Amino acid sequence: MIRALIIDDEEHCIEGLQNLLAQDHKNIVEVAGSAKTVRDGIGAITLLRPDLVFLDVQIGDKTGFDLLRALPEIDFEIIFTTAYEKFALQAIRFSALDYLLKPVDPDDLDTALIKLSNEKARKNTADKIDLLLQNTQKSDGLLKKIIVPTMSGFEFIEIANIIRCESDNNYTTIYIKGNQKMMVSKTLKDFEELLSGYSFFRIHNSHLINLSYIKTYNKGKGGSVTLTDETEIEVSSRRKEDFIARLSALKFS
Amino acid sequence: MSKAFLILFCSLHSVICLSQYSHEADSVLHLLKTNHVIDSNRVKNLLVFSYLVSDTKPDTAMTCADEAVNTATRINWQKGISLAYRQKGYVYYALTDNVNAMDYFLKALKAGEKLNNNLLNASIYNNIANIYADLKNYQVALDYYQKYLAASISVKSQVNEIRALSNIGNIYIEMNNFTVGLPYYNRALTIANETGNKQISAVISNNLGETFLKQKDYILAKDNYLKSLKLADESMNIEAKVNALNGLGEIYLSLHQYTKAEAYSKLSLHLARQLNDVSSQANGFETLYNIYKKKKQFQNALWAYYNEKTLKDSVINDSKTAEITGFEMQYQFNKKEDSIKIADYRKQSLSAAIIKQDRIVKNSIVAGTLIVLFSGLAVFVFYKRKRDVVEMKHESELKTQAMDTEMKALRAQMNPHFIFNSLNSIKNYIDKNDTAKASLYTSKFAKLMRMILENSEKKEIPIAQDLKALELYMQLEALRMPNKFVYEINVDDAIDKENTLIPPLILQPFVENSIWHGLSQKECDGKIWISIRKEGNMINCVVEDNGVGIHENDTDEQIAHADKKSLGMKITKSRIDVINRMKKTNATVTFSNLEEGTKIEVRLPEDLAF
Repeated sequence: MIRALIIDDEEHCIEGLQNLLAQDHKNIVEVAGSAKTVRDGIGAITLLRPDLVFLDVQIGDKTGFDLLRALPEIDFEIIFTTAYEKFALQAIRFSALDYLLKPVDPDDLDTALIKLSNEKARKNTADKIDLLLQNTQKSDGLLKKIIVPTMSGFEFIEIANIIRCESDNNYTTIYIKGNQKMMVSKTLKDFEELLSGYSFFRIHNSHLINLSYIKTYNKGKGGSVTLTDETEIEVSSRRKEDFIARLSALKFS
Repeated sequence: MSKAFLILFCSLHSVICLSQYSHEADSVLHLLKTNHVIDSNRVKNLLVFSYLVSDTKPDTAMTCADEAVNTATRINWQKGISLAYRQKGYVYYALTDNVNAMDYFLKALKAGEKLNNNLLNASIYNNIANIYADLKNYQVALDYYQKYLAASISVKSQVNEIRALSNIGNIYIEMNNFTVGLPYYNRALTIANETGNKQISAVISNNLGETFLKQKDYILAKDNYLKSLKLADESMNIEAKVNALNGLGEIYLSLHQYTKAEAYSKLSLHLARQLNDVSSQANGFETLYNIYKKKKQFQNALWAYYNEKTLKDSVINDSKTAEITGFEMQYQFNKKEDSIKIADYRKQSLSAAIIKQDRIVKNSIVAGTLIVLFSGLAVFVFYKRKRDVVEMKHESELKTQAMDTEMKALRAQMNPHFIFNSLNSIKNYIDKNDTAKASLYTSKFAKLMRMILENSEKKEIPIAQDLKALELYMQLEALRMPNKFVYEINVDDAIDKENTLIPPLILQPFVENSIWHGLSQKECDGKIWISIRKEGNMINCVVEDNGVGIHENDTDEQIAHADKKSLGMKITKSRIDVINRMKKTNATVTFSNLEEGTKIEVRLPEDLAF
C-alpha cells in the first residue's frame, strides 16, 4: 500500500484527486493526509513520512519547488500536479519526474501509478530532484541540464554539450562533446519536444542537431550540414526553408 | 612646276618691276632717315620699305612692319594698323611661316573691316586665300578668292579683278577642272589686255601655256608661252620670262626637238640664277636632265640631275616644313576664323577667350545639369527597383501574414464552438445529478482542450497527433451519448502517421456533424468510420457515418438547424480555401449523401515533415 500525501492550495483539487484515488485505486493507494500551504506541507511530510506526494507546483505565492528546497532529505516519490505552467512543466520533464495535469484524467493517473510501481523508475529520485531544483533556480529562464534514462539508470547531460541526437526506432542515440555517445530508450520526437526552445533543430526524420555545433552548411536540394565533430548530415528538403530561416534568426540574434 | 599666284602686295603702289626695287627702297629709306615726324606718311613709308625688302631682308622688313604697327597705333590710324598687320602677315608668308602669316592677315582683316575699306579687305582676302591654296584647301581658298573678286569688282579695281580671276582659274586647274578654270583665265587675260597690263598678261599666258602643256596640247601651249615671252620682255617681267622659257623647253622636249629644248632651258636657267629663284632653277635643271637623257649625254644628265636634286631638296624641305605645320595651322585657322565669325555674329567686342570661357561655363552648366539629372534618374531608377523588390517582398510577407492571421482566427473559432458544446454536456450531467460522469467528462474535456489549444497553435501537425485529439473527442461524445455509436479509425499503411502533416482539427467538425446530425437522431447501431488513405500524392481523409443524413424531404427547420450547427464545417471550408491560396494547392472538400448516412472527403496534398 502506498501512503500518499496531497499538497494543493485548492480544496476542490484535493477532493477531486482523493475521489479518483478512492474510486479506482483504493487497493494500492491510501491518502494519509493533505496540506494547503507550503508550511503545512513540510510539517505533514515530516510527520507522516509519506511514500508518495502529489505536489502542486503553484501553492499560494510559493511553489512546490520551494517546499522541496526546504526539506533536508527527500525520501519519497513525487508526482507534480499542475493546471498549466509551461516553464515548470519543462523543468519537471527535464528531470524525468512525473506530473499530472489538472483536472486529472483518470487514465493519466493510472499510467502514473503504473510507472511508479516500476522499480527502476524510482531510482535516483534525489538526483532528479537536485537537478530540478538546480534548473528552477536559474534566473535566466534557460535550463542547463537534462536527465535521461539509460540502460543502467539515469544520466545528467549538459544541454550545451549535446551535439546531436539520432533516431533508431524507439531509441535515440545522443552524441555528446568529447566523443561520448549514449543510447536512450526515448524517441527522437520526445527529445525534439523536450529541447524545444533551445538551439536544436530537427533537420531530418532521424536527426536532431544542436545549431551551435554547425560548422558549415553545404548547399544542395536540401543541402547538408557538417558539424564540428566532422559528421555530415543531410537536411531534409522539406525542412530546408525552415532550417535556413532558423539559422538566419540565429545569425542576427 | 607650280603656278604663280598673283599676290597683291600693297594698295599704295601699283605693280613694281624687279629692276626698280633697289632704287625705290633706297629713296624710301632716305625719307625715313631724314623725316622723323610721327604721322601717317611715316607709316606709309615704313610699309613701302618693309614691302620692298621683305624678300631680300626679311628681318629688316619685319622690324619696319613692327614700327609701322606701333606708329599707327600711337597716332590711332586704323587703316594704318590694318595695313601694318597685313605687311607683317606678308613678311611671315615670305618666310613660309604660314601660322603667323594667317594670324596677322586675320588681325588685319579685323582691323580693316571696321573701316569699310573694300579694297583693303579684298587684298587681305587674297592673301588668306593664297595660304589656303598652299595648303591645298581649295574650297576655302575659292571662298576667299570669290570674296576678293566681289570686293575688287565693287571698288572697280580691274587689277585686283584680274588677279582674283586668275587665281580662281589656278585653283580650278589645280583641281584638274579645265572647263571651269580656263574661262577664268580667259576673262582675266581679256581684262589685262584691255587695260594694257602686260606684266599680268604675261603671267596669265604662262598659266594658260602650262595648262595646255598638261593637256598635251603642244600647239596652244607653245602659242601661249610665246605670247608670254613677248609680254614679259615688253613689261620687264623676268620671272614670267623664266617660266615662259622653261615652258618652251618642256614643249620642245615633248616634241623631241632636243637642241631647241636645250637652248630654251639653258636660257631660263640663266635668268633664274640671276633672280636667285631656287624653285625656277630646279625646274630648269629638271628639264635639262630630261633633255640630256634623251640626247644620251649622260655626264651632262648627271650634272643636271645633281643640281636639280640639290635645289629641290631645299624646296622640298620648305614644302615639308609647310606640310608639317599644316595640321596645326588648319586647327589654328579654324579656331581663329571661328572666333572672328562669332565676334562678327554677336557684333560684340567680346574677346574669343571670354566667349570660349562663357561657352565653357555654359557647357559646364548644361553638362552639370545633365549629369545631375542623369545621376538623379539613375539613383531614382535604382532606388525604385530596390524599393519595388522590398515592397513586393513586404507585400507578400503581409499577404502571408494576413493569411496566417486569417488561419489563426479560423482555428481560434473552433475552440469556443467546441467549448460550448462540451459545457452543455457537462451541464446536462449536473442537471441529471450524475456527479461521477460530470467529473470524468470534465477531466476528459480539460485534456482535450489542452490538446486542441496546443495543436491549434500550429499550422500543421502529424496525422497521429490530430487523430489522438479526434479520438479523444469521440470518446467524449460517446460518453455523453452512451450506446449511440461506435467509431473505427483506419490509416493506410502507406502513410507515415508521424511524418505526414495535416492542418490541426481539419476533420473534427465533420465528425461532430456526423454525431450531432447523423447519429444523435438514430436509435442504435450508429457508426463512424474514419479512414486516411493515400491517393497518388494526395491524402484522402474520409469521414463516413450511417446516420440519417440530409434528405430532400427534410423540413426547413431541420435544414436550418443543420446550417446553424455546421458552423465548424463552414470554417473548415474557409480554412481549406486559405490553404489553397497560401500553398497554391488543390485541396478539396466533397460532401455526399449515401443511401444511409453521409460521407465527407477531404483531399489534401501530401505534406511530409521530413
